[in-house]
Order: sequence, then structure tokens, then C-alpha cells
Amino acid sequence: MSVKNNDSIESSLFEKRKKLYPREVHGLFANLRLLSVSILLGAYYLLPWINLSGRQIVLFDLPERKFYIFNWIFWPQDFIYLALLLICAAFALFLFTALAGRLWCGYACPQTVWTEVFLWIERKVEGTRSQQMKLDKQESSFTKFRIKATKHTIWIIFSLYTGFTFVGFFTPIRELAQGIMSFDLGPSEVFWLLFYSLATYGNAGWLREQVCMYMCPYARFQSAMLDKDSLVISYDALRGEPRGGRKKGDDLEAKQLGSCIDCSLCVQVCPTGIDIRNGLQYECIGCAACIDVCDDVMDKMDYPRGLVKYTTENKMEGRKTTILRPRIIIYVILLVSILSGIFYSIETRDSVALNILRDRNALYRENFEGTISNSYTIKVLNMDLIDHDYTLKVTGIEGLQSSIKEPIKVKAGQVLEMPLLLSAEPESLHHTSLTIKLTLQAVDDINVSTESEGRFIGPIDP
Amino acid sequence: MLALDKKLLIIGSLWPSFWMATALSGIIFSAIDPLIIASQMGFNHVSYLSAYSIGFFFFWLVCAWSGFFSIIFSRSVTKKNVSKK
Ligand code: SF4
Ligand code: SF4
Repeated sequence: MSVKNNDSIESSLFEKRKKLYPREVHGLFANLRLLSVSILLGAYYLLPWINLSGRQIVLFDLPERKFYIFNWIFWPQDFIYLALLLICAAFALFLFTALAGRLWCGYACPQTVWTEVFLWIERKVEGTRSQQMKLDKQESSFTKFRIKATKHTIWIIFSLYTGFTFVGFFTPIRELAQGIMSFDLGPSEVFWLLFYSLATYGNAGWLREQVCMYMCPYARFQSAMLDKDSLVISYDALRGEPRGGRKKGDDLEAKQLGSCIDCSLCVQVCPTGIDIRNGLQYECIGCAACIDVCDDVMDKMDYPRGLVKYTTENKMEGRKTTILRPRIIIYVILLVSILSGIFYSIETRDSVALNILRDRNALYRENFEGTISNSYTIKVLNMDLIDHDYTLKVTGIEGLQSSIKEPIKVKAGQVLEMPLLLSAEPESLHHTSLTIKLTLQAVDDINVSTESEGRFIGPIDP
Repeated sequence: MLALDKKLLIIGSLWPSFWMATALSGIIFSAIDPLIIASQMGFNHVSYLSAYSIGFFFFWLVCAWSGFFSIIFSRSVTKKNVSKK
């Protein structure tokens, strides 16, 4: 999809927008979209309500600074996984774009998904495309007001529920629901609920294709990822032209007509309001609505389907299409290696961590009995799904005494912070500063252990 | 002309910076506990969600500020003269 001309886009940024009334379509691709929308929205609205062993199956618990995703718990130090996952998402997007154009836009983008729902509501309330257009042209009247008010009320309720679900990924959703019932919500919760609701209402109800055209970064750079072998939606001009009206069964040769009957249905169904017959365009989000509707028309006329279809630039020019091109292979290799790396490292990551921090107030302390002691704070993070008892061994200085009472009990997913006092005989301190090694070992599982290093400071001249 | 510039200024500074702020909140707050910063600034009774939100808005503001000036400085002086003709 080449960008036609920069100026025309830039200037259209400020043009007054004409309201679009995308016509309803049925067909293979519309069904695929319906399937994808149902799966995605189903997951979005249902997931927060599913509990697994007493906690929400997906919960981004900000207060506890822990993300629960199915069987995994992610801690702030696991942020790298999130970053890697985002990189994977980007590569997957590149891959799919190179293979089949704007698949993401047409079937999975939240913008498309929620707009589908809003359009569906609009059609249920206001009727078909022509009924909607007629309604908008009418003088204001009570009926018009009633219909519009109904539509907006349903939209707003749906948006509010969407916003509520969004916050429910961050605050346990059942508590949130109770909070709403009893008008007892924190200001931030209220804010984010309203913010997300407003964004849904505005983007899916009002802005629609404008989000794709003016606000979406992906739309701006996706054309760079397409090549002559990428699947794109295109009109077969060779077959379609010259377009024109006719009756079913007319002799095309005699009338000197192509297959396009110029019914303009492909334009009416287009959510971005373009005419696919003008060639590939930057605005086309690849929703395939025009394919569905045109195939219908072809069926009615008894012409072969596929006047508008998924094809590649090479195919249109009569050349061969290669699927396995270098860029595809590179994307796949990168994607597979990063993903397997992530899963391997998540599955094998330490399930316990130990942090040691020297107390800043004093370098060391001399005790009555002549020993030298250092004090620390240690933090034990049990990142496992079960509770553990641990032992702590400190090595590095001969005869070192530790104040820790074993076993150290830490519950699953908890952090235990406690003071640690280490004391040594002055004779065993050969240097002013010595490295000590702490080994934390779970009592019940030999594989659960971790190590950490710290420093022990003694007098300058021991 | 002025009206158009205004629209570009508002969208151009607020929209990309919104995403930058989201990313920044993720990175910074996974490294630093926002409540520690809050308590060092003397606020002891902030909830986590508020601390994150305030942080987010702070990042948003900073990024928007930078975007705002990028747009201002990217308008060339000569262009203005041309449009006056
Ligand atoms: S252009 Fe952007 S906002 Fe629109 S559907 Fe595609 S990814 Fe989504
Ligand atoms: S031209 Fe066709 S595929 Fe592209 S956005 Fe319009 S209806 Fe969808």
C-alpha cells in the first residue's frame, strides 16, 4: 500500500470528516472477523473473573508489585521478560504484515474489535445503512432524539463496563465490583475506569477510521514491511474494466463491459470509505469487507468470484509468488529463538532470590567480648508457588557467627525482610574489607537455592 | 493556519507522549518502588495506584513538553514567510 502523496495526507489531517456509514457484510471474511472478535473480547471480559487456586488468573497487582499470569508470577526484576515479549510482538507483527498485509488491522486490533461491537449496536438501534443515513438527514424530532439517546446510552454502558474490566486487571475484579456497589473506590480507580471508558466510547463510537488514518503509528509504517510477495486486497482491473451497469445474462463482449457492475457496494461496506477499485491505498485496513460483498455480487450475476481478492503484486503482474523469502525466514528465526529463549528462562528461573544490604550507619562495631560485628538487612523473596523453609550459610571468614535463627520461613510469593548480624574474631580478619558469600538453601528442595555476596568491614589495623 | 497548527501541536505532543509515558512507567516503576520515592518526598499516605498514576502523569507531562517543543522548533522560519505572501 503505497502512500499516495504526503501532501494529500497531511492536508487531509485537517479536513472536515464526512461521517461514514459502513454497510453490513456477510461472508467468509466477515465470519472470520466475527470469530476473532468473539475470542478476543471473550478473553478480555471473562479472564478477570476466572480464579485459580484462590487468586485471579490474570492480575497485574500493582500494590504488591507482582504480575500473575496463569501459573506464573512475575516480579519487578522480571521486567526483562515483558520487554522481550514486546519485542516478540513487534516481530510477529512484521512477519504477519510481510506475509499478508494488515491482518492485524482487519481482525485483531482493539480499534477494529471494539468498533465492530459499536457498529453492531448502532445497526441494532438505528437500522441498516440507509436507515441510518435517512435518520441523520431528518429534522430533529422526538423520535430521532429517542433513537440517538438509546444508542448512546447503550454505547456508554458498554464502555463503562469495558473500563471496569480494564481496571479489573489491576485491582481484583470482585473487590472492585463490591467497591462500585458500595460507592467506595479510590480516586485512581475511578479515574482509570472513566479514562478507559471514555477512550473506548470516543475511539469506537466517534473517531473510528480516523484513529487508523491519523493516530496509529502502525498504519504509518506498515507499508515499509510489504513487498511484492505480500498478500494484499486488490481489485482485478483487467477483468473488471470497463465497469458499467447491465442485466444478468447480458453479453459482455457485445456490450464491451468488464465484470464490474459498478454497484458501488464495495465502497459502501468499506469502514474507511475508500474505493478499492482505485488501487492499493494507504487507508485500506485490509478488512476484506469489499471481498465478501463483491463475491456476493459475482454469485448473483453468475460470474466467477474473485474480482476483488487477496493477491500479491507479483501475481497480478503474472509472476510467481514466493512465500519463503529471506525477510520471512529471518523474522521466523528471530521470533522462534527469542520466544523459546523466554520460555526456557522463565521455566528455569530461580524460584528464590536473596538481597543483602549493609546498614549504612556504622562500618563495624566492636563488642564486649572483643569480636567485630557488621549489620545488614537481608531480603528473601520466595518466588515459588509453594511455601518454603530455608537455611542460610555464610562463608568467607573463619569462625563467622550469624544471628539468623533457622529455618527461615517464607510463604509462597512473599518477601521476608530481616536484620542480619555477623560477628568475627579480630584474628580472622586479614583485610579491612572481606568478601562474604551467603548461600540460601531450601530445606525441602535441593534445587531451590541461591547465592549472594556482601562485604564485611573490620578495623583498619586489626 | 493558526488553528491548524494548534491542532497539530495538541495531538502531536499529547498522543505520542502518552505511549512514551506508558513505557516509561513500566520500566522505571519495575526498577524503583514509587512508594519509596513518595515517602522520601514526605508523602506517607499515598496508595500504590495513586503513586503509579501520579508517576504516569508526570512522565506524560515531561514527554509532552518535549514533543511540544520539537514541533515548535521543527516549524521553519522561512516557511512562515512563504505562507504570508
Ligand atoms: S490502522 Fe492502527 S488503529 Fe487502525 S486497525 Fe490498524 S493497527 Fe489498529
Ligand atoms: S478497501 Fe476493502 S479491505 Fe480495504 S478497508 Fe475498505 S473494505 Fe476493507
